[in-house]
Amino acid sequence: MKISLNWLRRYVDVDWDADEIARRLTLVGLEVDGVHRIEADFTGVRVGKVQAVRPHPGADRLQIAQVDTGDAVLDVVCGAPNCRAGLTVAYAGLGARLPGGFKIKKAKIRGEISLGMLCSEDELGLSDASEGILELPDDLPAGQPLEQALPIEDVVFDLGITANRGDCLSHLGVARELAALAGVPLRWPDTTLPATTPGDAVPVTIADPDRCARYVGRVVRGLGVAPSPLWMQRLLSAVGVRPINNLVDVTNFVLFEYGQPLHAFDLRDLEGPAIVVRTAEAGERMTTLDDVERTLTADDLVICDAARPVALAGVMGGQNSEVKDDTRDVLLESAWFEPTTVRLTSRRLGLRSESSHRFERSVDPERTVEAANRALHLMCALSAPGTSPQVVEALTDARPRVVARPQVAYEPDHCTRLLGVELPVARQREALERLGFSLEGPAAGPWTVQTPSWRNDVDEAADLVEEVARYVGYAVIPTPPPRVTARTGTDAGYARSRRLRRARELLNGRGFHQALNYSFLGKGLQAHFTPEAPLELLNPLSDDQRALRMLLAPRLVENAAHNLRHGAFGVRLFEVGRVFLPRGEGVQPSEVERLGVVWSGPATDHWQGGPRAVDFFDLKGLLVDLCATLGRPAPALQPADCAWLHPGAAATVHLEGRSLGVAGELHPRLARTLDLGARLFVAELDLDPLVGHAAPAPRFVDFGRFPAVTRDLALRLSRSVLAAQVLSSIEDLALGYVDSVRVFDVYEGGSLGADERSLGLRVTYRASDRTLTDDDVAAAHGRLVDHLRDAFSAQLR
Amino acid sequence: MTDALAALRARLDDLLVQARAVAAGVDRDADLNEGKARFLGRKGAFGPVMRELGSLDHAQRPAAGALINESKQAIEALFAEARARIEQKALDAALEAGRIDVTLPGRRTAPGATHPVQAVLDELIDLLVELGFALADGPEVETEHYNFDQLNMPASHPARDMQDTFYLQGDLLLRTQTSPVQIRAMENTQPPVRIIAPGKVFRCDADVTHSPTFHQIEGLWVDRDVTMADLKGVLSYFLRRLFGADRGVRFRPSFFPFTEPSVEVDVEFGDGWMEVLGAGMVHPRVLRNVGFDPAEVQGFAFGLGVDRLAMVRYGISDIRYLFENDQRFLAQFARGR
Repeated sequence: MKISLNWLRRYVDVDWDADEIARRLTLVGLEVDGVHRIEADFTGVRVGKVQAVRPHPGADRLQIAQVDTGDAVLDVVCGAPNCRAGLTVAYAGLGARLPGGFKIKKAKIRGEISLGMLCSEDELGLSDASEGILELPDDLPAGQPLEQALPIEDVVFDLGITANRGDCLSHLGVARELAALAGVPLRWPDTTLPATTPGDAVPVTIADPDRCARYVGRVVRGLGVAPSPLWMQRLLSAVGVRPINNLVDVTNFVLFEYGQPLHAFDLRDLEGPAIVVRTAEAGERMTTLDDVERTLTADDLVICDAARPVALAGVMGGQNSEVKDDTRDVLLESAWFEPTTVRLTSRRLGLRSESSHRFERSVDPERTVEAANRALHLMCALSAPGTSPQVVEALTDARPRVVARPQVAYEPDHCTRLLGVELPVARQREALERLGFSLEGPAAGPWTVQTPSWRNDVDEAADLVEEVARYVGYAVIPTPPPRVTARTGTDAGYARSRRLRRARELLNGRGFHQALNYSFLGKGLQAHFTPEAPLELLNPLSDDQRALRMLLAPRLVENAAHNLRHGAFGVRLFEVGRVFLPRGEGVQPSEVERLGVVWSGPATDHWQGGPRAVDFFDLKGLLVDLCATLGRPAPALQPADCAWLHPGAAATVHLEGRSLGVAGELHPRLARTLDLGARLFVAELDLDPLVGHAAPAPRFVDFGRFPAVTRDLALRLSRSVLAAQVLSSIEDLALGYVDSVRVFDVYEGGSLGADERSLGLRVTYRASDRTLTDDDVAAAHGRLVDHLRDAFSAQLR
Repeated sequence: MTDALAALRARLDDLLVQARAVAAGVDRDADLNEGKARFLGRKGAFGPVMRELGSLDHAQRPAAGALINESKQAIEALFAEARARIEQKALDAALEAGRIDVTLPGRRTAPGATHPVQAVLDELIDLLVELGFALADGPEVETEHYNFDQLNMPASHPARDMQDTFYLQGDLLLRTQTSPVQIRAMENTQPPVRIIAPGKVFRCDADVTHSPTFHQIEGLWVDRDVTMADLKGVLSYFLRRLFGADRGVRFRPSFFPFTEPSVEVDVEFGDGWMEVLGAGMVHPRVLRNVGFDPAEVQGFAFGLGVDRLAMVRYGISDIRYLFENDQRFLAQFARGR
């Protein structure tokens, strides 16, 4: 919210300059996000007095004004219709500079010398448009620089008012805080009514006292609509409000002055005239001031006259009764609406106003009448020349209930206990009293603290501690070194995070960058990967952020496509994050932490040998190493049926009997659909089996000190026999002396049949207690070969 | 010296001259071996000399033997020298053949990067664990109960509007803050509770500085006597470790529904202050909500936006870079810390 320093100074006198005020406000909890200075964009403009006016001999529309400029009386040619003798004007002398760099020089206008210029508001940069020259108050002395005579210079503070401090959404509210800080009195505005007239008050019926605790209505008659005076326009402009006319401006002005939203009805348009505050009927319609027809629900509160809704309570007035240029009689509304109802209506209709903003945060229920009278005072004072408005004597103050003001039990010790510093009791009392709280009880406490009517945010002792703390300043609280106590027991969460970090580091070491994706994506994209229905956001930012992810792969594939599209030679990305697996309507989903990997482009690339494209076995090797680095055995990969992977290059990944996920080449069809333009290898694994628990510490096994003997054999096999079948059958055979079996060659084609391949195995034999003899090896190897022949119809090549 | 000895010496000198010529001339192993055999081999030139030794007087034999040995050693030395020369030459040739252009590129795998947000998260976690906080966790799809109600943000509370929430069916939503983990931790543990909860949070807001997904780290310390002075002590220490020991740290009043008193903490930054975290003493209603008695236990909580910290630390201008996963962006963070 914008707060003008000139405006603040109407209510409080403090010695602090703008920067100091900003600092103090920030440190008391009203954060100043910015300080903007408004400065006069002209020089050499002074107050002048038009002593006489004579017609220009050479032009009908021009006059020659004789102007007292303080040190001389000069002739100035002027074309403004309102230029007349006796007027106090803004005179730009020779050498003066106006906004836009326009410089005033001696000029001859249609044969007559003009020594300067009489300025309008827009020529001075004070408003966007103006009729005629600026008419200044007559009490200003001739020759006074205009920037001194007029409130042009100002400082505007951008305040970030927190949601609990509705009372500070006004200049008086902020001034009240400043006054409390400085220990100076607050100057309340003039609310006297110049003239009242007898007459009947407009009857007010509150049919929904829960949602409207107070409704003040008062009539003023005989107003004349005119522009507001410059000072008011300046202040409103400073806080970002466009001046319109004296009636509208006054209601805005008092809103920014008291924080009390007001509404002015044109009395002519009110049926009755009478006011009824009631719950809207479902489906009821009304057109608000912004020309939009609104359909209401029973959650909304409406202000009606005898026949129909005339305002949406606390949010916006109705078009049918708004003040117009010829409005003379006004019913002014000043009310207290229940915050939640205003908030719900405003939110449902997407209609936020200065008014709703304040009612939502609660306005002071005890200043309803005062704010109304302030507005009436100003309306009367600023009414068009020649009018003599009169406020109707009778005022309606419908108040079906009193808004509760909590009393809080408080002991000065609360402060010590919560803040960790002992503040003198007298200082605590001073803080609370200055901030408007009244204390009952012994001097040393405990106290019963009555909260002020404008503070709806205080109802606990802790709230009062904060009041005291912010008043004395948080800097008063000591800053001791951290107390650290040894933990007992392990921090399983941290241990897990360290293991995960180890996995990430391995991937980094292999050239993989860590990606971070949104947790939601388009339903269409995800549907390419899983037929299952995802959880959906009810209010996504866009359609491609609607579905909660059930896999990491879709976004990662998209990332790969993005990088390839932008000229990357290869893609190596991984992501660690949760996926959301639905468990039924309205039930929290199962959140599973996954690791996703995408790999495209060269696996290796060097000037010696050139690039080698990544293939499935690069990916598989990576996964095996990942398990190894986490102290897990090698995972088992088996051919898989996975819709989004290449049917011939897809595998399930199992670790210690648990399924980890899948790995393989992205289905070429999907690669085409997603416009990938390259082969992509993808893995998606559950992380919990990998990092969820610590691997057992390694146990040393003595390595064989006796020499090993290796035997190679090449088996001619049916292609349907998987390498893993051969290897595990050798393991199951449990031959003595077999130290390891390694695939060292795979051969297809040539003399082999189309459904055949040759598998080269290197078997290492070793005994732990002696050097094997040729006979030992021959016997074992013979059994192995026989077994493979029998089990797989393998032929030795 | 007798004539016989003189003659022997002359013969030996002659052999030495011949051997020197041979040794100097060989440049291959085979030639060297052959040359050496011609003098020192079984059928070499010393054979006849040795035989002549037998025909000498007994008295002269020792002197003659010494002469012969001396001569043999000299010749051996000549051939050893020649061998060393040949070996050196072979080595030189081999080394020359092995000369490479060391300025050509190496065979490498360029290291991948930890995501900048993750890097900051890791650092924060390590620091806070060092300060005695244990890692806690909670769901990202939360209920209104945990995300709002228990945190003293009832449905009517305007603060709910401060956080634009993604809603799902029923009372489910994407958590707007890591604070619900506080509630879950307190529900599951008796004081002292001293946890941090890093994680993803979600708000429906997107522009240069707002992302619909971002990261927070939440801290909570509740015990019998944890005061706001402890809050200031822990957070000042923590922030100075993070930003530098000489940084000013400023605490100023603020508002969060779940803390009272509430603070926002600024760190000196350039000419001014940068807001880095929100904190406060856990609101008594929040303590009551989890069955704690505010007269018995109290403590502080804090929450910190990780993404913005990463942006400041690495000079990232637009938050959207963080989630685009462009390798040209990510690769810049591959350098170790």
